[in-house]
Amino acid sequence: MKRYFGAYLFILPAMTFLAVFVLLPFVQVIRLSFTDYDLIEDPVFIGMDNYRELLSDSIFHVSLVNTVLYTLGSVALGLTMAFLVARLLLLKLRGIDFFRVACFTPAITSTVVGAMIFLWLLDYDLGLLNYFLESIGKEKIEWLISTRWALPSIILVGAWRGVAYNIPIYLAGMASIPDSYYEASRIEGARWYHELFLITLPLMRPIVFFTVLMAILGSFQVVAEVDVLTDGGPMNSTMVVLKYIFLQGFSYNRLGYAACISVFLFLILLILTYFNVRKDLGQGDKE
Amino acid sequence: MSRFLIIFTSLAPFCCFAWDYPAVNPSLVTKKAELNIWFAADYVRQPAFLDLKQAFEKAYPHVKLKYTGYEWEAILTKLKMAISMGMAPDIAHQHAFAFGANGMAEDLTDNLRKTGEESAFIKSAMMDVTWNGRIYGVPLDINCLLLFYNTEMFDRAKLKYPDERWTFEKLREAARKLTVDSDGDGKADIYGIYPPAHGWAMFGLIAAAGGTLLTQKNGEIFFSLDAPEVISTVSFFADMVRKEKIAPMPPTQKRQVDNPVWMFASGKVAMFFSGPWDVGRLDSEFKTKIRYGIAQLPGKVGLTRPGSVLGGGALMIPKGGKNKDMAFEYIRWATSSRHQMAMAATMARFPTRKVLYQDPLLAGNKLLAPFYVQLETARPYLLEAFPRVADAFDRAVKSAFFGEKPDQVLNDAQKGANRIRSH
Repeated sequence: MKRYFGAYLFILPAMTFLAVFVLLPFVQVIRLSFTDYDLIEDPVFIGMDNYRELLSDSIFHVSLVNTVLYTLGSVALGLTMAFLVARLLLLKLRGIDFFRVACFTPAITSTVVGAMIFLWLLDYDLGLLNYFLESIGKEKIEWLISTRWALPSIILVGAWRGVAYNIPIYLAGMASIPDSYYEASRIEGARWYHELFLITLPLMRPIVFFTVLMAILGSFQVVAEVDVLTDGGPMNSTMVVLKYIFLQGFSYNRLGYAACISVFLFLILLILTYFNVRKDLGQGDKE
Repeated sequence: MSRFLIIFTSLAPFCCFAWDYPAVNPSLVTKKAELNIWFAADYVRQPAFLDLKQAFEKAYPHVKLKYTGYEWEAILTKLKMAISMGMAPDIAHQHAFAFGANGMAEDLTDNLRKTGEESAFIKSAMMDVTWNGRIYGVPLDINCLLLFYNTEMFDRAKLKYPDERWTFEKLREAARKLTVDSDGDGKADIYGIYPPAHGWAMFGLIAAAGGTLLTQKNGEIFFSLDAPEVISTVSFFADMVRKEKIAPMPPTQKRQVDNPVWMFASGKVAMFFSGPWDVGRLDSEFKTKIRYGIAQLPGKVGLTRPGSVLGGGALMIPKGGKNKDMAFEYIRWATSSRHQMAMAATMARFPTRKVLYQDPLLAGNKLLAPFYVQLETARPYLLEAFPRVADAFDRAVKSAFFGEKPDQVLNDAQKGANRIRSH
């Protein structure tokens, strides 16, 4: 202990911050999840009632399925596109720096502003996309007002942000791979897909793992896009877990139940992270 | 600047200054305080409010006012959190009855009665601040749901303009005739009407049909989300969208006030339901050349004075306010005739004081005449005091537009409301 006293002193500010803003609220959320609390009256202990309600809450179940679908869709689409665009942005072309900056711009744009832009693009009657479709003689699509299209539209918006956020990460990763590897492979007769699957992807595995993990965690916490574009509708087809937590906690004043859903969401994310990390460590050990 | 606001602001100097702020209260003049006031975002930076701030700080030199603007819907959430954390502002702008009903607003009954001004306000405006006979705020401005119609489209279709004798059937008949499929693809390019797709506006139409969603008997609350008038009104508008295709499918967003006015301003719908705030908006924001009129809501056959839903806002003191006396004094100033006329002249936000409707600025405005009449029968959306029930109703209405059976979804919403009530 004495030996590491100096080190502990250095991490004390960060640990204090973590304790006050992460650990204590987390403990408080767990405590609240066993109570009935409406923000005005003091919390009343109700045991496992909130958890029992959670198991039979059909809207929560729908929101969970939607969140999983959103995560699968936006992570797969966002990261694949980010990888491909990053590869294109590595090309040594004139003015490529402009495109690098332009592609990153959505990541630094406010989520709400981004969603508002899509609102103008996807609106059924006034949106730009349907205007374009009509002008070329095609049927208008009910992007945000049909149960069939609403979730894919939200996924599209989420993927758009994901692409922008991950491009610089992939660019940095790709740039760190020595050119000599590619040169050697070409001498051996490798094609572009050999380079991609046998050099680029294996060498970028830790980076891809990191981005997948972050994207999953981020996607499970999607709310702003849903709030602006569909408010969870039509007919709960875009209701996601975080939106439902907000609805229960701050629209219905049911902080206890909202805390219970938060604890459940935390457990899901913990399990997902655990398996992801274990899988990656397992891969690392094999190598 | 808009035609509407030009007329209003040009008359303003002759009207507003005929009214004055309240007299300075000598017992408060030496009191030191910093008042934190939360307003709806579209109010906070308006010249009328900045003038008021300046005048109040001059009259009470030891008082500092701090205005903060939030989106109207966001005030609800932020206020609940602030009250629970003991960090509530001194004054907030909201529907006071809803906060009073939930024990989150100070009871101002005695304060207001002491001023002797309770009867100076429009009766329906007082309903917006009253719960179980107690007063929880002072009404700042007032509006209600009305029918906006494009007069050029009515002329082209050779239809008579809507009047106070209009019924739901006439509304539907007109909407059918005003719907235009210009390219012959079987789909409307101009819709007859924009449907009311959220709880507040739908309640206005339900009230117009003689229905209600909530009744209070001996202090007890009874919900009636599946009453026959409610089901028939929701079905009536859902059918216009789904069966007749004479109304567009409304979006699912929480904020429903933008799409209808955008569609109307761009000539894509002939009629829509909104409040008088859109009079100013149509002229100034959209600079529209569209000629339009305003009418009272259509009613059920045999109903001579159809109802509507009341809007607007009040100023209240959230529970735990530390400067109650000074906060109430500011509320008196903000709800004074002088400030209410300034709001009407520059913001198209209308007064809650009866006497001001005799002012030439308002009395002379023919476009708004139906609004003044409709105000007399408009009622507040009391469901707002029960957020879970209001949300259940809102979602049921939206579901009906998206193809669910109105009687079934409203029945489910009623069952949910009963469960919440018994809980």
